[in-house]
Amino acid sequence: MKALLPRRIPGPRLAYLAAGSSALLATAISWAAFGPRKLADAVMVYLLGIVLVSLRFGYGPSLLAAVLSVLCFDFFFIPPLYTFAIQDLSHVVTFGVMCLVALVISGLTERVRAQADAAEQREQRTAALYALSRELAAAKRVEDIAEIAARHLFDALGLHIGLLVPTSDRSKLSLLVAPKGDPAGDQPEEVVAQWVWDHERPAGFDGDVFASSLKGYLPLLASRGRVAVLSVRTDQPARLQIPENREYLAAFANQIASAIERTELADEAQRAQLQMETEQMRSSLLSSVSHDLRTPLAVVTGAASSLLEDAIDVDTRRELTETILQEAQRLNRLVRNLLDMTRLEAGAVLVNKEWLPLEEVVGAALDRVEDVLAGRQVVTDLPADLPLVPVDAVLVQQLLVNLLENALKYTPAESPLEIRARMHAGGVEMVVADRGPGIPPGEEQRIFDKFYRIGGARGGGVGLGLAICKGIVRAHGGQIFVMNRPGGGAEFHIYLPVDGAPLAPEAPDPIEEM
Amino acid sequence: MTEVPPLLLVVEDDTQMRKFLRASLTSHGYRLVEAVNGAEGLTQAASYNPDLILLDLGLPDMDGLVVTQRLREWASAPIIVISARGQENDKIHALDSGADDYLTKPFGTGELLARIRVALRHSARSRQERSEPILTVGELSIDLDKRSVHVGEREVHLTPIEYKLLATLLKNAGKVLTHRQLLKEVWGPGYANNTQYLRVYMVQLRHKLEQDATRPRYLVTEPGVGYRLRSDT
Repeated sequence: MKALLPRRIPGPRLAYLAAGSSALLATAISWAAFGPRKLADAVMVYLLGIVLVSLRFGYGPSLLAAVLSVLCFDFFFIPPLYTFAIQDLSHVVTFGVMCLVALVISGLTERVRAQADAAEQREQRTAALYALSRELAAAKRVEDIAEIAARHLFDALGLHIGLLVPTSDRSKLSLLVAPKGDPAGDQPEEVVAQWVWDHERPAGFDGDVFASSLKGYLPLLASRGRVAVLSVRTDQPARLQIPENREYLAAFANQIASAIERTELADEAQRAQLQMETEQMRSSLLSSVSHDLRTPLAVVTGAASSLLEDAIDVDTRRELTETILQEAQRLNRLVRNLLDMTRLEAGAVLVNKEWLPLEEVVGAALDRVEDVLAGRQVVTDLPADLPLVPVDAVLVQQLLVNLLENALKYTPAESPLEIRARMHAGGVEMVVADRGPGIPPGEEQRIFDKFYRIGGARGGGVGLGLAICKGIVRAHGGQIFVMNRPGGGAEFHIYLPVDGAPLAPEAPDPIEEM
Repeated sequence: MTEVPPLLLVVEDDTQMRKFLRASLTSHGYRLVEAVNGAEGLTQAASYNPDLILLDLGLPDMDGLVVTQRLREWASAPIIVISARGQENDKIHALDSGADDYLTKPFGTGELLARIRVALRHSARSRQERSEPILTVGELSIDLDKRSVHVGEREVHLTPIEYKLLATLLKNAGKVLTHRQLLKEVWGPGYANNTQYLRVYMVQLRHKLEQDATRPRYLVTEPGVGYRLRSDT
């Protein structure tokens, strides 16, 4: 059957020509095969011709074939021969049957053809929708979805689309993807799109709202509600008049809507995951901090309550008092670090850059760790011609103090420390080096993480010192990293950018030796 | 006739902090008046005319800076402000509006007593019209009459600016001086904001006077605030 049914009905001229020739051909075949007297056989041949024409060419040509066949049959086979006159009225019935056969068969084939066409079109559309959904499944961002949708809708229905997505508070829309190559006047109108968004109803085309023959707006609705608005523009309004095409467009819209919703869900899932991890980190952090805060507090409380008892000799009393002082200082460092970190993270630290001699900052830092240094050798190597550098005195002092305290904590008591500085193009490099055990491979980045301690060691601190260093260096727009030194030990390198030059320190008074 | 111990006014709202100050100061022979807020502090200062005022900057009723300014309208007694860390601007403002020194919480008794001693010494000296011509701190000495500077036996040659800077610091030995105060004193009021001059000259001074300029014994930096000539070495 399918073989007989052409994909498309051929042009009408050809069809009618074929219909005419079928009648003539049937006449010729019957005449040659049976001669004028074999009426029944001739009818069969004519009917065959009519059936073939009906199958192939539809109503009009088949009726033409029937009528011509009747005329030829009458003329060539029915007595009196070679006239159109009819003697026997029963032949009229034969004519009627021939016409009826033509009508019935062409009617039937028309229906089958229509069904086949519809089936084929459905198949194509299913394939197109499938192709769309497959591409959409791989899309991770709304922008990609819009691009894919635009391409598919143009291929399938010749539509130019735009996608309007809600802003973060979901009250307003912003145009995410504009129709390609459209003149400005053809851009989607935000007012209409907003109306569609607010009312979750389509607008444009021949609808009752914002009627237009060329433009339309569809709300994209997914399982959890509206996700976007699709604007559609067509150059062939007639194509969209066809109900199937409208349904097709609706199916596309559904696909796009669920794809967008899926990306939203994925985003939400990721956010939820991130939040969970943050929560976890926060609670582990909290337990670590509270442990580190409680230990010195417990010592202070215990020592102080012992001191209140009368039966304590002078030596013990002194020892307990020293313990209290040490633990209080430890608590102070801890709280200081926590506050610094919080302030740095909250962006509450204003970098107050001033042109300073590094020597002075290094001196101030060394002065502050004087007690903790306990006579440890610190070699300073600062070139005498080191120019002034624009840094925040307090922050960079803190940076150096943290690096020094860190070095003191993790290196043997007798090992020397070193502070160097050099100018480079565009900045100054400071190095704080030690002769300790160095940094285990792979930890070079992590030691700058908050609350990270090498091997989870419970040294003196909570693991904030280096994180604060990183924060301070970042606030200056610089870089900090650590490497192991040839010959053992760790080297912290700090690069701080130097932009511009200080005001020339012109002498406001003549400089002369006294 | 025994000397009357100095009378200190403590303006501090925290009970425990007051308790600590009372315990450590009275045990070192000072007499004490206390106030728990700025208003009371001003009243007490007016009625007792203390020799020195310890003023917490974080008071519940008024800004410590305002208290400093009001006190300075009539009182000449040294004011030492007590502030938390990270309030460098407050410290500078307090010092520029008349405070003599500051203490950063938490501080130990040693530091507290040293600051008080220095402040009382300076106020006593400023009451005497003429100070002695030779000032000495550790190995450092300056002869104001001869305009000469010595480190130990070694005479050090200074430029006029360097000399003026050192003289100012030595006259205020032990006391913090803000950048602005030093600039005004040495260069004149027009240069109060040119801290770069000051820093460059401080570097030069350290290189001439200190054994190791990165580990200064005398010319100490108070980051973000100013300089101090350390006197208790």
